[in-house]
This record gives sequence, C-alpha cells and structure tokens, in this order.
Amino acid sequence: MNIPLDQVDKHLAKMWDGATRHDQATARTTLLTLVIIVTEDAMLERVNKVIADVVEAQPVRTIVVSSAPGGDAEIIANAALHMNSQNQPSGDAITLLAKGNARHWLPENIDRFILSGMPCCVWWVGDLPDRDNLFERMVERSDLTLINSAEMDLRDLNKVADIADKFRQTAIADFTWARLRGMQDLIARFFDHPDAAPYLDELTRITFAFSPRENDIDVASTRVGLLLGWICHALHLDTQHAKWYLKKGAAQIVLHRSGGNYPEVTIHIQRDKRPGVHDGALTRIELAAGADDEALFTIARQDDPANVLWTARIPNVVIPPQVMHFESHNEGRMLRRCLENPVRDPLFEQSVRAAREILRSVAPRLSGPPSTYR
Amino acid sequence: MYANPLRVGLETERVAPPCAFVIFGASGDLTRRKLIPALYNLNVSRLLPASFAMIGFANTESTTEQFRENMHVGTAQFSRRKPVEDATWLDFASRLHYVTGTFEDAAAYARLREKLEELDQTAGTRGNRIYYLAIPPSLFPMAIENLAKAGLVSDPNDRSRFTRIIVEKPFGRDLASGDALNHQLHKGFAESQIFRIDHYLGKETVQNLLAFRFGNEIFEPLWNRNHIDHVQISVAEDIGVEGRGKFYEEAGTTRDIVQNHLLQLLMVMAMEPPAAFEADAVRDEKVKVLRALRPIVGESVSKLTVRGQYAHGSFAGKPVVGYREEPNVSPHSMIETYVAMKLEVDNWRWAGVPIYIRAGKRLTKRSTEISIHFKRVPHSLLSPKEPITPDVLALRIQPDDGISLRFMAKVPGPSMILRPVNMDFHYGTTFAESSPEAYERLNLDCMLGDPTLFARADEVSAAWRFITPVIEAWQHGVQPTFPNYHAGTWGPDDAARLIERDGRAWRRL
Repeated sequence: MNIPLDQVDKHLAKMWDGATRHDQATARTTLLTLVIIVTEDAMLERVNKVIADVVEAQPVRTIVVSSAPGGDAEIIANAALHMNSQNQPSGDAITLLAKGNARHWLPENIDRFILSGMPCCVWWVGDLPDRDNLFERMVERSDLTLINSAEMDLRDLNKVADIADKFRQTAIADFTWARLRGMQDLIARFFDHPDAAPYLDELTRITFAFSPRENDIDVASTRVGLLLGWICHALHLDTQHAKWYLKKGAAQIVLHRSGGNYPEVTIHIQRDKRPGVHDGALTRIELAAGADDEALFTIARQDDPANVLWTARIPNVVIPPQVMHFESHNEGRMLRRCLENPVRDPLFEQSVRAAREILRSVAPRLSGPPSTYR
Repeated sequence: MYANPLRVGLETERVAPPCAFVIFGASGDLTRRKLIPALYNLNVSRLLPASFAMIGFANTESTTEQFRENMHVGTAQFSRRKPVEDATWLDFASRLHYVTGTFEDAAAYARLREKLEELDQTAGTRGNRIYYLAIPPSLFPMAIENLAKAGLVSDPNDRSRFTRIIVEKPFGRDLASGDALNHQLHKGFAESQIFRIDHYLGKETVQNLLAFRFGNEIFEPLWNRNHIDHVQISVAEDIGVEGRGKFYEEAGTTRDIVQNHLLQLLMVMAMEPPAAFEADAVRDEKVKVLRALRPIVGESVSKLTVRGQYAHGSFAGKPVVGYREEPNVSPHSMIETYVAMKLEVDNWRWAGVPIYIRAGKRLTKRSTEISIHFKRVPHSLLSPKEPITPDVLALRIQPDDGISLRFMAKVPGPSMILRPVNMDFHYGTTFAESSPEAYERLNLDCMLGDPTLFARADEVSAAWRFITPVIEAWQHGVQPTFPNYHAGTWGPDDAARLIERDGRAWRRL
C-alpha cells in the first residue's frame, strides 16, 4: 500500500503503537538511519537479505531508495516495521520509489525521514557513478558512505580515492576493507615478533595470489589493490615511480622504499582460480626478506577456504604454524561491522590513495576524472 | 621501543604474546567447562599467538592424547561457539599438553619444568609462563612453594620474560586467612605477577558500567548525594547450591557472593573517576570505596544485616528441597543462603545515601542489577495530591543485560495525571556481536599483562576487613531461626523490614 510522503511518520507511529499494545515492542531504540540507494532493481532481493541481517542485530531506520525512468514525476512511499526473528519490531522500514524526473527530488525527501540527532549512513549499492547528482548530494548529507569495493573493477578504487578527497565531511566505509582487517592483522602479526621485526626493513618480495572473476581482465582484484595500497602506505614505498611488468596471468611491480637504505621490493600478483573462494579473494600472501628469502612469511588459504595457514620462517627462531579461521563471506555481517563505528578511517583513505597512485597506469578511469571530483 | 609500522592506524584486536599457560587442577570441571572453551574461543577469534602452549597439570593419570580428547568433548559442550570447527580445533589441540603429578611432588614440578623448557624450544613460548590455580586454596601454598623451588618463577623485573599466576576466589575465609593467602602468594610472586580473578569483572555489562558512568556527561553530575536517595544492588539466583553443598557449607552467601562479586559491583558503581583507565588508577579508586564503607560492628550488625536460609518450596513449577536437605549439607546447618545489608559509604559523594544490598539462592528469579533511586522532586507541582514516583536508573547485569530509566510522563487526557514509564536499552538487541565470556576476556588480559579487571591484594584485604566483623558477630550473636524463607520467594521477611523501616522498598526485579 502506498502512503503519501507526509503520512509516513504518522503511519509508522501507528504501527509502533499497535506493536506496543500487542506487547511486541517494549522499547523503540534506534541507532541510526541507513539510506540504501539501489541502482538496479535486480539488486533489491540482495539488499533485503542484507537489511534483514542488519536489523536482526541493530535497531535502525532503513530508507530503501530506487528510481524508475519515465512516467510522470512522482515519489511513491511505503512504510512498515522491521521485525526480528523474535517477532519484535526492530526499526522502521521506509521505501521510496522515484519515477521519472522525481529522482532529483529524492535528497530532500530522504532528508525528512532521517532520524534527528543520530548518524545517517548511505549505502550505494552497485557500481559507483562517475558523476551523479543524487549520489553526490546523498554523500554530502551522510556521516558515513558505505560501498563494497569487492563488486567493483580495479579502476574504481580511483573513484573511491577521489570521493575520499572531495567529501571531507563524510566517512567512507568499505565492506571489503572491513573484511580485510583480519588479513591485515595476520600480516602485521608477523612483524610483532621481536626477532622478525628487523626483516621488515629487508623485505624484497611480496606475493599476492587471488582468485579472479570469470573473464576478469584486471591485473588484480580490488582486495589486492587495497592491501597493496596499505602496505605501500605503511612502509613508505614510493608509489609514484612504480615500475610495472605485465605478463599473461601475472604482474610484477618494482618499488623503492623511501627514507633509508632499503632493498628494492618486488610485488608479484598472481592469478589462482580456486573453487569455493569468493571472486577476488586472496588465496596466498607471501613476504620474503633478506638474501635468498632468508625469512619467509606466508598466509595460505586451505582446502576449506574459511581457514588459512599462517607460517613464519625466521632463521634460528621457532614460531609454530597456526591455522586461523575466518567467518564466511557475508555482506550483512560486513555492513554491521561498518556501522558499528561510523567515523572516518584515515588508514583506509591513505591506503586507497596509495592504491590509486600505484594502479593508475594499469587501471585508468575509463571516463577520466570528472571535474566535480577535483 | 619498537613500533611495528604495519600496526599504525590499524584497528585490530589485542593479540596475546607468546606464552605457556599452565592449568593446575586441569582434570577439574572448571578447566573443561570454562577455561579450555575460553582459550579455544580466543584462538578462533585469532587472539592467541602462534607461539602458545597450554599444559594441564593434575594428579589424575592421563596422557596428552586423552587430555586433548576430554577437552574436545568439553569444548563441544560448553563453548559459546558451536559447532567446534575441526581444523581450528586440531590446530588448537596440538598446543595442549598434559603432565601428571601431585601438587606436593617436587619431581612432578621438575617434569613440568622440563616440559616448559621443551616448549620454549619447540613452540617458541620464550620463557613466558602463566599458572592458573584451578585448585582448592588449601593447595595454593604447596603449589606456590614448589613452583618457586623448581625455578619456575621469573624475576618480576626481568623484561625478557614474564611469569604470572591466576588465582580463583575464595581469597580466604576472613581477614586473617585472606591476608595469610596474600602473604603466601607474595612468598612466590610479586603483586604485579598475581591476577586474582573475579569473573564478574570480566562481564561486558560490568565494564559497560564504567563506560556508562565515565563515557557520558549527563549522568555523572547526578551521581551523588545531592540527587540520589539510595542505591540497591541485588544478586538474585533462582537455583540452589547445585551439588556444591560441601563448598557452600564452608562458604555461605556472604563469602561466595557478597565479599567479592557484590562488593566489586559496589566499587564500580561508587568509585570516583580514575585519573586514567589504567590498572592501578582504577584499582586505587575502587579500594577507596571499600575503605570508606562504614564498618558494621557490634549492635549495628543485627540492625543492618539480615541472614536467611531457604526451606523447601518450588522452582519453575516443581517442588524443590530446602537447603538442609541438599546433598552434603548438615540437617542443622546454620549457613546463610541469603544476605541483605544496609551499607553507608562515608565520603563526600555518598554521605547519607544508603546502599542496600541483597544476594540469595532459590529466590523468585535470577537477576543481578544495580538500581539508582533518585530523590523525589522537591515540590510536587504537577501532582499535589499524589507523591510523584522518583526516577530510577537500573543497570541490569544479568540476564537481559541493559539499562533502563524510569521517569514520569503525563497520561494523555485533560487532567494532569503522571505515571512512571520505562525507557529501555537492551544490550542483546542493540549490539549484535555475542559478548566474549568473562574467562576469555580475563585470560587474555592476564596474557597481555593488564590487571585492571583483577582484584588487587589491598582490595581483597579491605573487603575482608569490612566483612569479617559481620561474620564474627553472626557467629557469636543470637542465631536466627533457619530456615526462614521458602524456595521460590524473595527471601526472609526481615529483609523486607530492613529496607521498609527506612520508608523504602526493594525494587521488583
């Protein structure tokens, strides 16, 4: 049933009232507003699944926004309550469909439903647009812009970095970056060990193997790009003078490290298509240091792709290998993690900028940088 | 000091350093039900280092293989993460070892030392050791002495390795035995090496109490005698002694709950803001609360305290026996299964604010909470005929942990009628991630060398200094008529009278 826009709040209040009277709701707690902009109808089912996962855990108001070209300009609204698995209301569910030119009216009409005084997070589902008025106006209004770089092409990291540069008042959270946190921790953990720490200055080779998408032409997945950007940023590798060597199915980058007398670092990117592994996911990371790979640090995905084997081989030091478990890939879980702390993540922004720099020559933006981003 | 550049800006969990974790009394229930599942969960959360090893030490004959199998069964049953993930378990189990030995046998400690040194070589544990005493306190002195004799305790000032010891309550039976235990512990270990576990402090909700008080501006200005009428702290259990009759006959509710868990809640509720969220700063403030507790001695014991013991009654619609009918309990037992007290904290913040505490077994329902009862409004402007119900802030520790604020609202309609309404925050429905078990948090903190959530010697001593005169007065004074409440009720009538004579009532839990 469609509801006039100015009746949505009233309608929701009535539903909460009814739930309270039926002892379904004891409290109406809300943490934030989550605006979800769906660019293709085909994505709605996936979005609904993710929302169900999120509202199970966090009481949020969701506003799902889609648009349909053509027809008279009109925004159609609907409102309901999210119910959790215990059949208790866990937030407001508002949907807005903009027909025809009404897409331009969306930002203000979304504004009226954003919870006052609470953070507003905008999840743009699908490819990032190069230049889109709705996107920009929504990003400007949000405290947190959510993206999932796993579903992007490598060149889109360029766009993400540009957004981070342009919109300084909003934080950007990437589901994929959130997922990489565990992997970053495992890499950093190698060098927490006092006997391994000196080898960080003697790094000579880093190998990333990833499971590519079908017919993927990119030299690396966005996950590889983000991890590479992070390592380059953290270790002060000179991304501007990266030398690329491309071969079929593999790529090499030669990098220099600034600020000291460090050896040249060669990055190897390898394709390793593995069944049961999510597209773009890393299957192996190896860091070699010292002459003739004197120290070798490896994270290798096991037959059960949820497990990785972590091994550190350092001369005269015993560090047993360890099997580490990663929860299965789940967009709802990653979104929840991003929503937990909707603040800027400077490390992500610096890493994605480093990735932009290093990937520029192999993954240029097809459309070139639009003026609005500069 | 070395700073790993790959850690800069990285939001990561705190991973434990390399160490060997030795559990004394590893064949006991605590190891199987709590400690190993907690360590396994830390491993699943990727919080244990690769160079981690665990040694079970107990007098039950067993092999490492049998021990691993037993622990697998225990973990499958008691871990909060189910099912146990095969590859992770196999990896974790490869780090579990077992040494058979009695606690008095010096040769067993020599074998333990041999094993630990072997693990330093093969598992890279780097001479770091944690000893968890999951054994009766009567065995502590022997274990401590033998550990020291076997050269298994490193110098606390040795920066290249560490030795820590974790001890479980009870930390003595009274002031003298509590101090004696501390003395024993200090014979083998420096205070900085001793981690006294009170698992209540490992609960997320207790830590949230600190976050609530010191992470919000709006409540702290009200948190004092000017605005608070009184405080109630309740630790209500609906279960009985559950097969622990022998233990309970020695302890009673005062030693089992009040001296530790309940006073810990009191300290966290009443402490001043510490200068920093650091172990000693926090614990300094906590212990000041205990020192400011007005002693309950002499005649005031009978006025300010109530004891109870449950008789037969019902639980969950079924009949249950009384305490004296429980296994391993004397039919004439005078041990208390219920305690209520009226406390006063004599300091600037709390002067004149009574703090009513109660703890008991076989009560109507399970509930642990702290409720802050605010003063009435100074003038009943809106409801001259009826007194306005004071606001209450309730901090629920378990179950259904969360916070609720009761305040007054106008009933819709032409008249100005006020009624109290509740504003509720439920931890479980607001944050999705399941909370780690208290033992996960506390074991990890110990491995990381963070004693903030552990009790310090002076804290334990101060708690006993307050409690011991009460216990002694009970022993020597007029004995109550036990049993004095039925299982499934809210405790003895005297407990109700204790608070009612001040014109107040226990909050309905």
